[in-house]
Amino acid sequence: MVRTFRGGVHPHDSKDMSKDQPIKQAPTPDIVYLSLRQHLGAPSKAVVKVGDLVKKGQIVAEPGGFVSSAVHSPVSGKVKEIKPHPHMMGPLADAVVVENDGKDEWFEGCNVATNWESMTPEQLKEKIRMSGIVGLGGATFPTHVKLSPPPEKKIDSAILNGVECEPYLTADYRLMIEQPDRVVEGFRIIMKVLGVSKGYIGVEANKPDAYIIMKEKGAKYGIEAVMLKVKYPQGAEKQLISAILGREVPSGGLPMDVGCVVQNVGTAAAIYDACAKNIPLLTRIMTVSGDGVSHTANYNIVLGQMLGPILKECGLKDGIRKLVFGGPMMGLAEPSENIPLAKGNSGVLALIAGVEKYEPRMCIRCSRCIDHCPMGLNPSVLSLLSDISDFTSMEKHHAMDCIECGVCTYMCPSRRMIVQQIKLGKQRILASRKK
Amino acid sequence: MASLLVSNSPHIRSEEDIKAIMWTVVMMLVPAGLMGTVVFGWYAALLILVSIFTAVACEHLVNKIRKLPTTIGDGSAVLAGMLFAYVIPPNTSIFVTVLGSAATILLGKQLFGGLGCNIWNPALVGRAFVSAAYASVIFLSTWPRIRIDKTLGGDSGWLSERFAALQNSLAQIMGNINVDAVSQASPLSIVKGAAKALDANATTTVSELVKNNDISYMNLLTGHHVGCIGETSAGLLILGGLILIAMKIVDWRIPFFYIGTVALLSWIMPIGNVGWFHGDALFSVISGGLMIGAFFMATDFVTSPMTPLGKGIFAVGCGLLTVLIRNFGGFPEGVCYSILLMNTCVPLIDRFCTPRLFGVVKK
Amino acid sequence: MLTTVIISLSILGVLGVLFGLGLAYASKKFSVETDPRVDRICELLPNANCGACGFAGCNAFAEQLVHGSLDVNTCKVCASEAKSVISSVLGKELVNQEREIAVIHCMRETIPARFEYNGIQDCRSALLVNGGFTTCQYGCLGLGTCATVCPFEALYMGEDGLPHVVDEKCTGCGNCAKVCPRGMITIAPMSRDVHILCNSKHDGKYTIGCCNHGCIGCKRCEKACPAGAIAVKDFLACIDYTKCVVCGACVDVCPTGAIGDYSLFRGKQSAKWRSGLAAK
Repeated sequence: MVRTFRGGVHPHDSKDMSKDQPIKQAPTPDIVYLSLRQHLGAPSKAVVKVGDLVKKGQIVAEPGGFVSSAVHSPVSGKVKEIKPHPHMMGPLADAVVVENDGKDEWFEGCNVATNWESMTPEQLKEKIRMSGIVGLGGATFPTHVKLSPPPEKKIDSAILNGVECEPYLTADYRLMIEQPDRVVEGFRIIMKVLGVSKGYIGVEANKPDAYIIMKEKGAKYGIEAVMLKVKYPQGAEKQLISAILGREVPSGGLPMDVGCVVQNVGTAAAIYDACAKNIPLLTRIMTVSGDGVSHTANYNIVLGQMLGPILKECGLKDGIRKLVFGGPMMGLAEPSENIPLAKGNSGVLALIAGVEKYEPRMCIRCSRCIDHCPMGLNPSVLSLLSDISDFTSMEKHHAMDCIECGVCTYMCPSRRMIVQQIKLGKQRILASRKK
Repeated sequence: MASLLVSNSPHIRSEEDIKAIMWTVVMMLVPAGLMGTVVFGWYAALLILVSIFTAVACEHLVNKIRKLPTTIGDGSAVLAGMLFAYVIPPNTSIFVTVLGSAATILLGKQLFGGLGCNIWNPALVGRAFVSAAYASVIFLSTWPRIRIDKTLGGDSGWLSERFAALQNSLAQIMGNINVDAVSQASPLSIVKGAAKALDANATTTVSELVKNNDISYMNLLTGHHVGCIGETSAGLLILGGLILIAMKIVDWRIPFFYIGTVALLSWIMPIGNVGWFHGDALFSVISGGLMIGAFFMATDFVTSPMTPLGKGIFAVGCGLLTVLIRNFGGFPEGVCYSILLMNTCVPLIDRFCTPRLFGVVKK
Repeated sequence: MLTTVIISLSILGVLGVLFGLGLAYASKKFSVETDPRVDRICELLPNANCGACGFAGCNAFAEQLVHGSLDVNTCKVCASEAKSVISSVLGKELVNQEREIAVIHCMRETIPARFEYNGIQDCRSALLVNGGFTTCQYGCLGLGTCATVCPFEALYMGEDGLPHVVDEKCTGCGNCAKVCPRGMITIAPMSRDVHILCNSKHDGKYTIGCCNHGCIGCKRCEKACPAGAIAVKDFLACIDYTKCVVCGACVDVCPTGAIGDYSLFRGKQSAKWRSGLAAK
């Protein structure tokens, strides 16, 4: 049985371009730029000084609050400087720059196998927190926060997100078929931390081989693989829960309100590394794709590496019009390729064709956005209200429920920038709530 | 490297834009117009072209005055002009056509701010304007002659008859409008008149009246009967409408519920001296302007509700009003005004029919 | 024919009289008692309903004036003559307050764009896309959101892509300052004519890289100021208008021309300062 959710679209997924490329180890760079803003929440606080020697796996920045995350050095070498540097989300943010000395020395206690099954859930959670693990699907929400539901919320199921519903991206797919044990073991750790016995792995129907592997590997641990219809945004938490369990997260609520916790497959693999091998989050798997590169690839690449050289290696063409970090539906367009890899970056798309400047026109009320909105909103009205800056009415029309998946904007024949308008509305509503 | 383009997500868009939608709808309307030309002669084609040209010219003019980039390329003006020509009789004078088409764009659309801002369907506003200003033009008792008795090109006389029709058309252009008219009423008014003429105690059904007046269902479907230029060939309009629904350009609910309501209610409702439950659903559905109304006018995005429930309510309302006007009103046909009236209710419908929010369970 | 006319005229006439009587009755029957002072004050207020006072329109503000303990000066927009009449209506003493005006703290000629922006032409929205498209993270984006919110049409977007204040129309209501996402519009007293025309908190090197007229935080103005009104913080000078004596000493020492003296151009447009600067 193929399960799914209400609304959504199926854009051309373009996954064929990179789905048969095995994961390649990218060369370790001479210099890494470790941004202190790679996650949602408070920025990390640097704990090293300029001139310090750091080793591979050593912590360079500690979490700046509960909803925050640590940053570790993926190379051994010297801290060259700590200064603002362009990063994925915007023009400038503080970054720790480490020069690689090529010795590749591990920090003390790192890369040592331990038996995670003998650890308590509390110990595991602390391990995850100190390993700097965040949601690697793109949302970059610190994982330990998600794994710490308040005691009054009873969690009965854990869901692993192997949907990868964004077009082009194949990183999670390659991970599931090449390193399924990391994923499944990591998921078992998540289930142990949460104290649940029932786990689900959601996989879209366009990845049947991944589905079969997950089904086989997970069967003996009470993990059920679920085949899902190919539809965007299946991988959004609330939609995934609705598709797999038929439960709807209440408006304004969190998945834990319906007894679920959702984690990405990449996050699970990172959790496995942290708990079983004592390796903090140093690398991630990333897709390079789009018609702006001559050969597509799936890379295993260290965090903080400049993406320019990697793109050159893939044959970056002249005249690319858009560089997207992440998927084309929710990813961020970047002004330059000289931006270091951040934790949440699941792919780099270099696009030439089909990228144009859109001139928004008046809404023609075709209702495509309403028919396809996975959250049951009226994006048309929200967009018109944003036009006239009526943010109070936007709140009444449930603007805060928007998950910014971009389906409305994708469908809009008037080429309206609905998501951007709703984002502005949400920002203004939050600002007025704070007052 | 040139400066990169940066925008908010999403970075891909569906291929369907306003232009694609409008031109597809125009394409789906072309067969019905061709049929109108075959049935009514070249003058009908001329009217369609004049109407389209006027509409496009008006659109361009307003864009120039408002100093906006021209919007004639998106096809919405062509569509409005085309639809207006389809709902006027084939012997309308050029002057009235130009006036009506200008009213379609200026009063119906641009007065409110252009595409997306209008309250009423522009083509129907144009028709309502003309029927108010030149009532005798729209509400004909005498329609131009057509070849009701012959089938298309089936006999040797077809070519010579076409030639005669061309001559007639030329004569019409020159100014002799009703040169070839005979006293022929539209099927709906024939049946309505016959129903009124019946005895008060008669038990006749509408189907019998249709039969007695030599109205053939086949002719109604193919368009071989008197009526407005584009609305006669119900079959081609249904075909075009179904293709639009299959392409997911228009929603199936509005045509389905509109036609369904008309079918059901015209069977139930009395007309003239024909009693309750003696109506003829098929006849009511395929005669008059219902098909063009249901598939191409009521489904106009701008002037119809946005949620599925709202669309249903809107369509049922249109159907109810159509039957009420047809059976009890002064006019034989009620599609135009019923859609206009329901257009007026759209903001209200939209206000109360909101989509179900994710995570909110209806109690 | 004539009878038709007479009948229709009389029917309409009777209907008109009936409705008129009905309305007259309703207005008496359902009339709401209002404080005459509120109405009187309402007439005197500007009735622009700009919302700068924090209330929903001038009527609400008038009610607060009468029934609350608000000061008339909460309304920035009202002319001083009207304010004195309002004060006398309220039976209070009017404390004279100086007229205030919006100041644009950016004077960029061109800021090299980091990328080509495609999106909504609203500064607040543009800021959501990669932190805004200008290299200077504090300068004007030039999409004119401030001009669209101005209830008095006192701001307009010049050809240089910067907002300009029309001194005579500006009332200092502060709507533009509230809406500017970069916070580069402030409200300053009319008589204090010297302003720092830059908002950049970048270090000097970065600022010079993006703009010819940026404040680089060199502190020369701080030293030159005889009144101690200028303080440099985060590479940006800031004038304390309560201390400023409008001597213009800072203007002369500023190496980048980031300090402007509007007194020469008061009553014209602030753009004039820049053309004067270019001539220098």
